[in-house]
This record gives sequence, C-alpha cells and structure tokens, in this order.
Amino acid sequence: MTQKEMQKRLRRYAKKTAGCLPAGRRERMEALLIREEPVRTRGTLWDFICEQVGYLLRQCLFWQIIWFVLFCCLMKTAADILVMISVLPPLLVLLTVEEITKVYQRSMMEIEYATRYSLQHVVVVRMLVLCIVHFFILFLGIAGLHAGLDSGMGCLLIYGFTPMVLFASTLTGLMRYLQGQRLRVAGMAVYIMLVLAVIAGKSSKYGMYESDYFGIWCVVCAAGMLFGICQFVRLNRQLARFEQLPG
Amino acid sequence: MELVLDRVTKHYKNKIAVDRLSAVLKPGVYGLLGANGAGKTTLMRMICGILEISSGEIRLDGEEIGEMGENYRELLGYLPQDFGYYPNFTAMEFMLYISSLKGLDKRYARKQSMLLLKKVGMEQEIRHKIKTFSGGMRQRLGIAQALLNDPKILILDEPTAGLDPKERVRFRNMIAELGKERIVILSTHIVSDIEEIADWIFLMKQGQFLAQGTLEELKEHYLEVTGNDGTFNLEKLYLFYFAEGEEEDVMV
Amino acid sequence: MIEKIIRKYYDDILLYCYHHVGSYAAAEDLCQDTFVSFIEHYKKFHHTGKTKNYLYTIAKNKCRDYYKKHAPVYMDELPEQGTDSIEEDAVLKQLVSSLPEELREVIILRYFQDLKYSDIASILKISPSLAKYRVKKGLELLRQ
Repeated sequence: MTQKEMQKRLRRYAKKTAGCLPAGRRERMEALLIREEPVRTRGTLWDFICEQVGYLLRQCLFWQIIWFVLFCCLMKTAADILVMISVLPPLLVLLTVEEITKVYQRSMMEIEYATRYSLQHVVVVRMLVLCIVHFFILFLGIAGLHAGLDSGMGCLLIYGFTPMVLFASTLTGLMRYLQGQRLRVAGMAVYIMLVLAVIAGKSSKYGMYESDYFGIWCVVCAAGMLFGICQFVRLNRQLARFEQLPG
Repeated sequence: MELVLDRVTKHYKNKIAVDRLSAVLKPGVYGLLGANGAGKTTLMRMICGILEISSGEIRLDGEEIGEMGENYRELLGYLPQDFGYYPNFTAMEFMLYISSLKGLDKRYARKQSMLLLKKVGMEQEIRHKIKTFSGGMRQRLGIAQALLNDPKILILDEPTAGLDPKERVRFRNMIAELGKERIVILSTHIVSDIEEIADWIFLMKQGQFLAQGTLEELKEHYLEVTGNDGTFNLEKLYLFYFAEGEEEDVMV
Repeated sequence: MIEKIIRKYYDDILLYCYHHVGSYAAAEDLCQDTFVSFIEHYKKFHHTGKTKNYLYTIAKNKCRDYYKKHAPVYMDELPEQGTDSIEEDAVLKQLVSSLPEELREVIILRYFQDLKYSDIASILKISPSLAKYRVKKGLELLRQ
C-alpha cells in the first residue's frame, strides 16, 4: 500500500467515526453548559447607567428628532429667529420633565428605596444624561444655524442656552416640592410664562436682543447655571432619604 | 444568617410609632399581626432601610444595615402595603425596570422575570399594561417583583390583600417554601395566613410586641392568661389583647 | 464565550478522545473532564495561542492519565457498514492503537482531527518539522 492510499484510508475512517458520534452527547454537552461559569446575575453601575440611557433612547429619540427638524424648519422660515432660538430649547427640558415624572411618583417610591439603586440614582442619571444630550442637540442646531445669520455664534448660544438653563434650574427647584402630575403641570406653566416673558422682552422698548443687553444675558445665564447646580445638589441630598421626598 | 432588632425605635414629633422593639430573626417565616396603626408598616420600612431609625440598631450578621448600604438592599425583597405601579408599563416592562433598580444583569433579569411571572400565574399577561390588571393581579405582580433578586430577606406587607382563596393558598405554599432558607417577614390582618405558615408570630400594638412565639407557645400563653381551656385560635388571642372596638380589624 | 467554545469544539474533542481510548463511553467522560478543566482554568488562559490547541493539550493529558489506569480498549463500537469495511476499520484502529505513543498522537491529530502541522506542533510542543517527520514515520509503520 502506498503512503497516499494509507492516508486515504485514515481519512475515510476518520469520516466514518465522525458520523457515528453517540446521540446522547448533546445532553452531556448541555449539562456542561449549565455547570459552566456561574450565571452572571448582577450588573455594575455602568450597566445600570447604560440601561437608563437605553431606556431614554427608546422613549426620547423620536421626540428629539422631531424637535431638531422643527428647529431647523422654523429657523429657516420664522420671521423672528432670535425669539425662536430662545423659546424652542426649553421644549427639550419639558421632554426631560416627562421622562423624570414617569418615575418620580410617590406611589412607587417605597419599592425604589429598598433596591440597590434607589430612585435617587434613577432621577440623577436621567437628568444628567438628558441634560448632556439636549445641550449637545442645541449646540448642533445653533452651529448649523449660525452660518446663515448675521449674529455671532456666541450670541446665538447665549440666546438659546439662557432660557433653557433658567427653565431647567426652576424645574430642578420645583422637583424638591412637587412630583408626578403636579410637576408636569408646573413645568408647563413655567414654560408658558417663559415664552410670554421672551415675547414681552422682545417687543418692549428695551428690545432685549439688542447688543447693549448681551452682557445681561451672559450674567443671567451664569446665574441661572449656578442656581441650577445648587438646586440639583439639594435635590440629590433630598432624594437620598425617603422621608424627605415631597408628597 | 441572623437579623437582629436591637431596641429599635421610631418616633415622630408627637408620636412613638415603634417603641424599643427587640427580636432575633433567623431563616423562617415570621408573622406580624396587629391592627391598623400598630406600627407594623413602620417597622417593616425600617427593616428595609427606607425609614431612618430614631434609636436602636438593626444588624445583619453583626453589621449595622445603614453601614452596609446597597449591600444590604441587594439582599432585600419588599412588597409594600400600598403597592404603586406605573400604569402604562406592561408586566414585563415593570419587572425589567425593577430588575434594573436591583442591579440585575439584563439577560438574567429577563429569564428571572419570565420565571417569576409564570410562578405567580401571570404568563398570559406579560405584554398587558398594568392599568388593565385587577387588584389581585397587581398584587401577584408585586410579589413577583419582590422575588426578582432572589432575596435573603423578604418583607411582605399585606401580601394577600386582594387575592382570592385559591391564590392565597398558592401564595402560602410559595412563602412556606421560601421561608426554608430565607427570613420572611409577613404582616397581615388575615389571621389564617399567619396561622398556616408562620414559624414565629409577633403580636403588635402601639409600637410594641405584646406577645411573640410559635403558635404552640402562644396557645400556652393564652391558656395561662385566660385560664380558658376551650379551643384556641390566634384570633382569640388577638381579641384578648385588643378592645372590642378593634375586632373588625381582624379577618379570618 | 465559554458556551461558544464548548459548542464549537465538543465533538472534535470527543472524537479525539475516542480515537485514543477506543470507547465512546470512556471518551465522553474524558471529554467532559477536558472541558471541566478548561472552564476552571479559563481565567488563567491568557489567549496566547489557539483555544482549540489548548483544549487538545488538556485532552491529550487526560487520555494519557486514562492510559495509565486502564488497558487500551480494542474492537469496540465500530461503525455499522459492510463486513469488509468493518474489518478494515477494525484492523486500522488496531494498527493505530499499537503505534508508539508519539507517532499515534500525530497520526490521530493529523488524519483524524485534520489539524495543520503548526497546530500539532503547538499542542505537542515540538517543531512543525518534527511533527511532519513523525507523521511520515507513523504512516510507514502502518503500511508495514
């Protein structure tokens, strides 16, 4: 027998034996799979954050896209672009309120304070994530808009961010006293007041979008951010204890 | 595993809700029986770490639960008395949300949620919104969420409220099984639930334990204090301790 | 990850063990032992080589330990085909089993497991040229 013939015979034999494996081996393999590394039952803090982000993505992405499209369309067609820049961004904050009030309700909180990650974690993570995302969306919108306008990028950012910061700070403060449906209603009320204030400011003899008042805008923006940070820190402390929750 | 309540007290401005309670709890089913306002829910919330203790300590295996923080909460399963829910969540969404709060791995959470919903007889309602559920169904969902993280300490406040007799029997069997390796604390008005499954019973009034022990020990205690050698049931002992006006709080 | 590895290589390792010990029952046990050891040492395995080669190395050692405790099993559980074929296969199996250990090993890895010389070299911790030499030698002995 030549070497090649021997090789063929060996390979033929190998093929035959490969086709004759016992049927019961599957069960033994499954038993092995069950006893492999212990099933991972617990996630990490990062997993928790990603889950919250995933949840927000599923709920908010549609409305964020709608807002962005609306923003772009209105900027092209609106007569008073600066008013639009001031009035539209707080709508994103309203979306945040909606997502927060879904979980920020007294009736659920007992369970949420007996879990590894409490309501405090959920609210803080959602607020921070949405804050970052909405700032980014607004920045993109304004950056895109800036090319077609006379005003500088800095001006537009201030006109856009200031109402958003003020609105967000006010709502953060309100969250310390209200929740659920009341918080939603309060949010809408604050937004309407903001819109009226902007319109009034624009049409008044002061014309708040005049360059003379730009400095005031910057101061108001900075003050609003400081106020917002203070309110957020206090809210975070309040959320740490079930007994200090509103309602 | 040992959960020690060491002179645990909770007082508010003009009221003492829980008054220097002490107990040592090991794996088994503990029944907490008392009328409204006895302090049962306050005690349970303190055991869960939801309410701060005014004085005293609660220790698990020698470690104070406040210091354990999230490590303690990981071991807990809690069903509150007024079980709130998110109406627009489906049963599965709700279970996954609670799983996320409990820090469970996503895949494990999904498997565990399916398993538990099946266990409480809700496999057909997985995709239905909670707002469409009856009271009993919501209660079963509440029991399921309490078991998600395979808790070592299970606190159930009025768990059988709204359950029909068949569901109550099913629930009792489940609790009896769970109590073999866990500390299960069950608070209820329904005396028969406690009689059937509790290994140890606490009778509570105005923030204090009036009596505690196994059913046999409580029977002896009752016979001692009343000198009554008639038939004994837990209801009689309960009624003995409470004025006539509170009789309607007790259900059998 | 481990699940994928087990599903992918279970049959290969089972066959490898069978070719060594000649019995499916014993081969299954050795295959289980191989994967149990693999799982236990998975964390220490720094992925410096192929997972497959690592599994074969474990299986080889398990089979060697088995040989020390048990006499080789022959004429056991042959595939059911025509009489000539069965006899041929039985003879072939006998011949392979009677080869010296290092030659039997390379023949099994090369022709029954269809591994490359580089993989064989990695498993047996020899050079590829030595692996080739041993295969050639093994074939010569089988032909005689």
